[in-house]
Amino acid sequence: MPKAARIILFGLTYVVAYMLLGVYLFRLSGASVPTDISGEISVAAGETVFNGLGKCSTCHSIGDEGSAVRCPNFGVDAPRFTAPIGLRAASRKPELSAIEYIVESIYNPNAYVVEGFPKNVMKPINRPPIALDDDAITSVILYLLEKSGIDVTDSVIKEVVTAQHPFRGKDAAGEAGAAPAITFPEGDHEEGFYVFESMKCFQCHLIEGAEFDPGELTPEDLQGGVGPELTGIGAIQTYEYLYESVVNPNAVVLPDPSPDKKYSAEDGISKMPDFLDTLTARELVDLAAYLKSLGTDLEPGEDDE
Amino acid sequence: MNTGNSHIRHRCESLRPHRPGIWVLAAMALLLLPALAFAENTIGAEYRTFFGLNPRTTVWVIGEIHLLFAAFVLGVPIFAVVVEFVGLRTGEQKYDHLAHECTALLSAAFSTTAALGGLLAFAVFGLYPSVMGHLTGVMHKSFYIYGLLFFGEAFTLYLYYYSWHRMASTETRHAGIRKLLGTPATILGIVIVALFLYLFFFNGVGSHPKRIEVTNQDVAMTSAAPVDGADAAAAEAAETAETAEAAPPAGDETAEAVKEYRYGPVHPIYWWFGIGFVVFVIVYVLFAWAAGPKTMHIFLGVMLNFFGLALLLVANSWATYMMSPSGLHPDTMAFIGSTWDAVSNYLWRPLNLHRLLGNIAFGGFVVGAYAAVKFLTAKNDAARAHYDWMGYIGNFIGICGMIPLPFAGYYLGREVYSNSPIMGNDMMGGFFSWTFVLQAVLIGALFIGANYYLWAGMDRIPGSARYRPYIKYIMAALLLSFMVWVTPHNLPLTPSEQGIMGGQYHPVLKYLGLMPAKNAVVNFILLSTFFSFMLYRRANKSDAKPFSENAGIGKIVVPVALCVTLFLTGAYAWSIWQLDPADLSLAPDRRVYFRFHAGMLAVHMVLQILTVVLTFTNKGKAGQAILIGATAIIATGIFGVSGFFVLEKANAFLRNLAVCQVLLVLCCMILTQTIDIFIFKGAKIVGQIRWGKVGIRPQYALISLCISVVMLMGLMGYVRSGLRQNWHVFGVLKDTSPQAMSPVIQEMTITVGFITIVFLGLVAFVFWLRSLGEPDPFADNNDPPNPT
Repeated sequence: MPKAARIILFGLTYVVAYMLLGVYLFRLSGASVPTDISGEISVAAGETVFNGLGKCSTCHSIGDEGSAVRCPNFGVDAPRFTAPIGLRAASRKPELSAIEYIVESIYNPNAYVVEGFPKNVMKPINRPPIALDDDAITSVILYLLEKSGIDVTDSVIKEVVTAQHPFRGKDAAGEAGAAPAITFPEGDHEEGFYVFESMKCFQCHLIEGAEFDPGELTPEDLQGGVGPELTGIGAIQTYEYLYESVVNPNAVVLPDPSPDKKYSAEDGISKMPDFLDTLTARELVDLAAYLKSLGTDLEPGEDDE
Repeated sequence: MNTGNSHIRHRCESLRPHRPGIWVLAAMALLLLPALAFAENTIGAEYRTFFGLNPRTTVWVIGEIHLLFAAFVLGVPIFAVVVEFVGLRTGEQKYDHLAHECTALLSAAFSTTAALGGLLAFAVFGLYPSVMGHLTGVMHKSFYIYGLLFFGEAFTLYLYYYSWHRMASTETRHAGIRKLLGTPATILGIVIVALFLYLFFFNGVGSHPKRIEVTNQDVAMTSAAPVDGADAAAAEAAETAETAEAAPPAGDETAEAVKEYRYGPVHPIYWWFGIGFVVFVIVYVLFAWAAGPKTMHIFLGVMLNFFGLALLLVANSWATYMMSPSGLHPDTMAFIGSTWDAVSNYLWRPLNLHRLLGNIAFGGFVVGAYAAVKFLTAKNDAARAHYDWMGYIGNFIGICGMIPLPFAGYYLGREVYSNSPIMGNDMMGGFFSWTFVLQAVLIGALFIGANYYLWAGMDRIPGSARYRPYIKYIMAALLLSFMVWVTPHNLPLTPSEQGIMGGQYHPVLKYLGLMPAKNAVVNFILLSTFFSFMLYRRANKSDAKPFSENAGIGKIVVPVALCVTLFLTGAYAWSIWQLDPADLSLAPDRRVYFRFHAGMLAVHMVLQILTVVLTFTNKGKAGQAILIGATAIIATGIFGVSGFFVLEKANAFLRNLAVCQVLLVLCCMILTQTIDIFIFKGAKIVGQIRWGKVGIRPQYALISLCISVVMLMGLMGYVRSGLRQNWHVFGVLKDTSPQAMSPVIQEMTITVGFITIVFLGLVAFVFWLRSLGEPDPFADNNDPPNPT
């Protein structure tokens, strides 16, 4: 065999041996493509997330399952952890139930750091780069509870979801968090006044001191009180909140002030219609500027004086 | 470009003019302009396919091949200029011929590298327009700097290559100026190199090693808490940030804080460095002019390396920005920093160091393989002698790059973890953990191959028989160490297999899979290889000469080396002695672990002093033996065992322990080698090395080293880039393409294997092309360039 051919054959054999080793290791490791569990809330989905997208198992073991030691073991690991997470969690913070503690630990890991483990190792799991959505987090918690010997009943699921309430929707899935904040052009609060008037917002929302042209509305139509009073709203709320309230009234629905006076319908949906199809972008910007001016030096009327 | 896992080596190296490639490159440059303009106005699809093929794999393959060529083009000039300098100092022509031959290879590979760079630029801009729009917006100023540096690289390369014979004279032009400027130029050169390393490869200035900017991690910390907890979380994030400028307050104030951090193009200290560099160039040009053409020629080589390294730094900033983006608004994640903020990101310096050493090793092993192929196909003894010697030098340079490479790799890995524990966990304990088994196999092949080459090479050295008995022990130590290294902690077992073994983990072997065991054996491997090299150096020398009579300047150099090692060991020992457990979130009683390891460092310091004392009393070899033995016992044995206790009781201190181990091994090497030079200075030579009188197996070992290092670079490039998983820019720009998933290890090895074959085929072709233009220097069995 020519010398050059021998060299080439040697080189190719060497490379192919390496490729075969890679194939062998792949089979040995049992690696697989992560399962899609989007939209599912269950213990099984939680296990998949725990060992997959959530990457929980890279830091946490559960008893003898897994080898990670970087963060607390979720199972029994005597003498340090004599009870699984679902049972010992209740004693971590007196003001929180076990489920509330677990929820807080996932969304805000530095709120309580187990002694002997460093701060800042774990990042909020609903934020990049892990960026699990709230349902996936629910599933992981259910999985941990089940691994702690707790029956995962509907009431437990409800309790978990309730405990997640303060955190839910806060930059879920990382998309909202990763996206740049939107900057709106500056609105004209005086034009916004006329938008408020023309859209007949005053029909439901009272603004102390403001006078609107009722047009064809009768006095009976002008009772107000269907929606929250907006007097001075600009001094206490942000632009973001005001924009959201106009185009997505269900995002935040205030509690009903009394049994006789309800802001939401029987199904819990806000009584206020959204104005997605009726407002132009300019009108929205001006309306928000008007609402923001309420309770400030720019409030119409005071400005004129 | 992937982003997640495709390897985006988006170095726009399309602008390198060279003889055959200049028209192609000019056309590419013209074509690139609309691509850049398009990137600024991203319209249409965010992702495209490459004629129906997977865009990620396309970019991965092109990028990796380009990167391998770039590593050769950047690594070989370091090799060439060092060899040329040795030739000037020793007066041996063989070194000069070797350096020239390497530069000829370099010249041939340069245009291929540039063409691949152009192809890569087209691929990333064409297939990932939106991503490149973002990166262009952040990094566009660095593109222009990169282009300008390319001119410098091209011009100095051609000057260096084409002026070789014209500037071959070593005659001094002006002895007075030479004498006057010799010392200042040397001192200035050392200072500039030291500053260069510090500013660009280690901590640097104007940036903190822990955190220099606002990243997605800070954002996560400040905004995850419910509304009423936001302030507390922000305060906590500010508390954990280690510098005032790094502590991100909330809201608009944070934006202002980030803006205040801006230094314009660079931090002011870097301007001063630039001025210092210009002064150095002026002084050195004057000195080189006076010293003669050859010195001036070497200066050209130094400048070639300067431009090459500068190109490396710029390109590294693009890759590392995608891993650890900086200069971002904490709320919006919009880029609000300066170019310097983006360039000087958290992982930039660690990667610079790792790639620099990697390129040196890579250049050495590729040259070694080239020599091996030439040896195997040589037609006469003169050619065999020359290429045998060339292979030895290539292997030597490769080992020199390899020995500190694990330390640099550890530094990079540690910083990856510090920047993002999620990335770090994925790397060592998650999706990528199995790739480190492959890495261990390849590094094992490299070290065993390099050691085998040294041992086999003793055949040509008269007097080497004295040292042969040691080889089997070194081999056994190496093999045992690699068995430990490749042992995984966690075996994927079926329930029945677990039942047989009594659990998921093997009762004994499970300990070998943990970091303390890995760190211990890595250090032992390095010591073993160093010991092999010492034996090789001594092989044809008679016994050592009395240091007290023969050392000469060694009586100054050895104590200076001792001061350096004492300073390194002592400073670190003091720092961990004083370390507050609270700094590592550990209980106060964990301080005992810090004190114990600091104490062991102090013991090593005493042994360092003892070694030098013994050397001065003409018992240097005994001193060396004591130091090497003690280092093996402390760094591998004691620290290897104590590592398991640290892992269990004071986990956060494990990184410091790894630094202790590395320090001891490095200090041992520095001191032992320095002593070795002087105790064997002027030792009687048993016999001349018979170059060319060696079997063909060592040559195949050299070829295997080259293939291993190519595959290793491909493998680790996959890991480094893949750590971003489904992010183009980690935590900032998500990969929403259909290919946004991590290729499994099987796909990786097949792709990297394919890349290796293509790269080596291209290299062989380019070298063959180069040989067409020059006559065979050994056609008549003459041996002017050969060693004897």
